[in-house]
Amino acid sequence: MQTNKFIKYLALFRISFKDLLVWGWEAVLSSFMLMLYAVIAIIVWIAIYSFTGVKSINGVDLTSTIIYFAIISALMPFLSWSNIVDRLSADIRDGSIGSSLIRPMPYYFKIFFEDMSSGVFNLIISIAVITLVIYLGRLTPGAYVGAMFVFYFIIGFLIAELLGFIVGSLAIYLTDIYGIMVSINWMVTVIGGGMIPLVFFPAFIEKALLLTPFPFLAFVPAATLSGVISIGEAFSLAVIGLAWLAALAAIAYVMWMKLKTRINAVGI
Amino acid sequence: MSGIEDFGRDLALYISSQKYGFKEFMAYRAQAISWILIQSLGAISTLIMVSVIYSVSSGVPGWGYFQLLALGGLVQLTSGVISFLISPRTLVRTMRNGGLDQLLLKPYNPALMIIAKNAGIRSLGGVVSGALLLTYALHGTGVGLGAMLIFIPSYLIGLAALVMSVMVLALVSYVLFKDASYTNWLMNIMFSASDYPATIYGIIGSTALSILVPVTFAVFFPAAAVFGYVNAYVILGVVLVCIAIAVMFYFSSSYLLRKYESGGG
Repeated sequence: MQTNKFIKYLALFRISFKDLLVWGWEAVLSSFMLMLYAVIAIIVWIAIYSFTGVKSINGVDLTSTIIYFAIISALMPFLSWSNIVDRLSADIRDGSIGSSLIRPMPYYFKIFFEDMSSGVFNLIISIAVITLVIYLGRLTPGAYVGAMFVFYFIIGFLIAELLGFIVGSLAIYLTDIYGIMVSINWMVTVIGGGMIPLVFFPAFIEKALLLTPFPFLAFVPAATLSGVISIGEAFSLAVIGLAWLAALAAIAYVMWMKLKTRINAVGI
Repeated sequence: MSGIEDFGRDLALYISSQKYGFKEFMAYRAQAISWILIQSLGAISTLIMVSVIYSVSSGVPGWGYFQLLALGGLVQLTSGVISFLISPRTLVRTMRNGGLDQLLLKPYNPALMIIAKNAGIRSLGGVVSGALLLTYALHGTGVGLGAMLIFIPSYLIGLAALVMSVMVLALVSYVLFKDASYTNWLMNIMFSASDYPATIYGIIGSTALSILVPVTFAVFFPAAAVFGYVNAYVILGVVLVCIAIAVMFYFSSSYLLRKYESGGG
């Protein structure tokens, strides 16, 4: 019975993945363009380090900064945004969520597995870039750092999916959620460490920002692998990450329960 | 006389279109205010980024805190103005669904019709926040009136060149791909890169920022001129290049619009 369920979801994933591969080059181009933001950051920080002539800024040297942003470039296509927002809000706006609810599978699993197609596609690109970064940066992450990175990578992915689900659900209350999408994207980029490693902020701001969920989408996994933060610091953040995951899952659940009661389906 | 009359008619159309667009935008007041705030995030990012850079280092080679802030403010202002005047994605979408056909049938300048009807009123927040940041930064640098007299015309000419090149880029995107999502994306990347002096990107980067989408002509050179980083000959050369780009792309856009094939409807 469980196998049948899994096959059902796997079929959804396969259809969605095939759909994505039809526009394969477009997906590659999207990932490449997202990476360009990190390339800009690398060039800027190279110029700053060279001009300032310092070996390290707040304990981070130029090589670590470059590696940090190179990892960010690999993470951005994967963690920057969840397509669940687009799918969910579109389904709510055009009313197709009504017919989806009567299908013999939970709607949230349906959109999650459909979104996994782009997730897996971006994961392949991310793994390729990270492997290249490890090779070119001559990184020798131990098993512990590697495990922590994978852990935060998964936490980041799940937080992105849950945030996407919550924001997408807001479409039932608001006419236009694009603004919220832009704001969250901004938060990931600016206060999540996509543009500046959080260790460059004053210490009290860094500590405050690390209490939000956004650094788990960029700063925490990238800083763990690049060595910008120590193993001990990385480990201490696990509790915050898991707490956010639980909190967002609870919010998403409540939102879903409320959303279900507000859907009115019409049509043939 | 006819030319002046046509210009007057076109201007009246533009003003009435903007008035209508603004009233429509303000109809949902809470949404309009939230949009204006959201569009200001770019200026806030610039302020945060520049402040962090100068708090941990001596900054970007040759540029002071307020100078870099002014450059960032100018980028935000320009990005807002461009989004307000023309969005390649919106224009190509209009072309795809046959919306442009209706515009071209009207007895007005086609380029103006496109700019008037596709105005991104929601980008006003970017324009206002960019202008505020620029004013604050210029005040901090203490630039004189003389420098501003060089800055304002060189900026406006650079902006005209940028607007016309974006228009051509959108029309070419329609011809080649029938989609301009990536054109918008490319522009955003170019604007992000322009937050910093073009000189840090080396010759290849600077050339890309000047040719692919000529952002440097509207942003970097006017800012470099006002802070005295380029001499009078360079400014004159840039102004002449911008005039050439604006004229060339104006005629190119007119040609592409004449050859326009409807996408349906």
